[in-house]
Amino acid sequence: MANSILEVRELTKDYSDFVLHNLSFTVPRGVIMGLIGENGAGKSTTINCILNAVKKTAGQILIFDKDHITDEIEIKDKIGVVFDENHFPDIFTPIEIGTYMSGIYSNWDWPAYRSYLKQFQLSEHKKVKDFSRGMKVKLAFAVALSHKAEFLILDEATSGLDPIVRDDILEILIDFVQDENHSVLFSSHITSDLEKVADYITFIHKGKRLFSCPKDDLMDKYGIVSCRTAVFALLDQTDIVAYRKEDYQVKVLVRDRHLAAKKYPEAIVEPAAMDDIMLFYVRGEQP
Amino acid sequence: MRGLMSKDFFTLKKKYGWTRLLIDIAIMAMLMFVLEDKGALLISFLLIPLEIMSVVITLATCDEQWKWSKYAISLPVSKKQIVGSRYGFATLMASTGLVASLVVNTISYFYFPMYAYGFYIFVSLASFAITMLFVALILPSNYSLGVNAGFVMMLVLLGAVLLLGFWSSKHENAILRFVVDHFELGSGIAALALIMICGLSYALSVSFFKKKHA
Repeated sequence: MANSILEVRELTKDYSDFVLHNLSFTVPRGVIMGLIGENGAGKSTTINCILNAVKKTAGQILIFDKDHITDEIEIKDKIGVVFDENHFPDIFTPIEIGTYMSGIYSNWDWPAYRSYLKQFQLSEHKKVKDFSRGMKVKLAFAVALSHKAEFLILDEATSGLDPIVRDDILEILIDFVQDENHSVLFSSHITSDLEKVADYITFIHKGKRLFSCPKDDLMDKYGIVSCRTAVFALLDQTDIVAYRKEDYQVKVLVRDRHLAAKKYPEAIVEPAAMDDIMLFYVRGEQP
Repeated sequence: MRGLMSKDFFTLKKKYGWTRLLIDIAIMAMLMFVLEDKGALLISFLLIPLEIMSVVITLATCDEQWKWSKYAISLPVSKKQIVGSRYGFATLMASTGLVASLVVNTISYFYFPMYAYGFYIFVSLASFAITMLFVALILPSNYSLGVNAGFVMMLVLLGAVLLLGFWSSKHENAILRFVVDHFELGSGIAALALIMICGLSYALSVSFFKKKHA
């Protein structure tokens, strides 16, 4: 069994007005990989390419060590997908959805499905249109988890949900990766969710990968240096990722905050939250 | 494929239901009662194809409303299977129409006997062929330009059937006479043409669907 569940190698998708450029990252087994980036950065395009919903221009995508197009059906039989909006027929009940899904997935597990419906407090015979948005997302999770999936792909699945439901969903994800053969690719711009559950983070900006690394490294190493303009001028340019000028000070994102604290004792160095990192990369000025 | 067709079946059941079925049966009975021997022809060549086309368009409308194709692509089915399941379900519906047409024509034969029973069987088979032809024209329109295009196509086809029927009756049943005069050759050519059109229609629909997701 391969160590990684997903390998994206130099993936390129060329729309005329947007290019996803040479994107590479790997999702190891037993982890949650967060895919972050601003709206329009290329997260959904990446997921659509992985699912072969759109045709990639170049590159290679391996899932379970198999080509995502050649072995598409076999691969998708072991993948659960949850999108940002409901795609189930809203006039159907969860039981009817289960009935046709059992004809689609070769490993459909009715007892597991019923158990998830019960766990998520979803009525088996209530129409989907009578469900709240949170309940619809939970139904999508029930379906995604009821066919012995090994890999979950979530495309902004938690956006627009209240914190309670989001927390429930994060717990589902943590439970899912308790099995070390399971992995999750979780695209979201709600970075606080990823801070809670992700093991790895891949950051895409304007169709390019900025980094892909363990979340703990990111949270441990990146920092914000706050200093006056005079001190900023003395900073080593190679330490600076990006900076933002404010009224009386300059805030600087650095890759190694421990080193920065030693090198610049006159500046205030604080850990950077994922939101800060994203904001500096997207909005900050480059040295 | 089975799962996708089950979804279509559930959609049909929910959207139409028993009430619609009973209304259809009542309309058929009324047409036969009022139009007598001509009732079976009208049901076979107009009502049944219209109803099947309406089913196909309803399914496409629902899919568009639910953005189903985006989700379907993430399932373990190929794009060919997604399109193929719709053709499979439409064929199943057309076969149900054939059975309905056979029942109506058999009743017509017993109550208003005008021709040999073979003629009534021919009418039922012709009804099936027309329905399949209509489905073969509507589905690629749906996949290329959306539900509205399918709906426009349905109206055009209905207009064409009405025009042909009107023209034929003005010319002493010219179409019927042509069919009787060239029965074997005509049937063979029609069957072959229908198979080819359906095959081409499927290939076009798959191509349009793939293009939409390229």
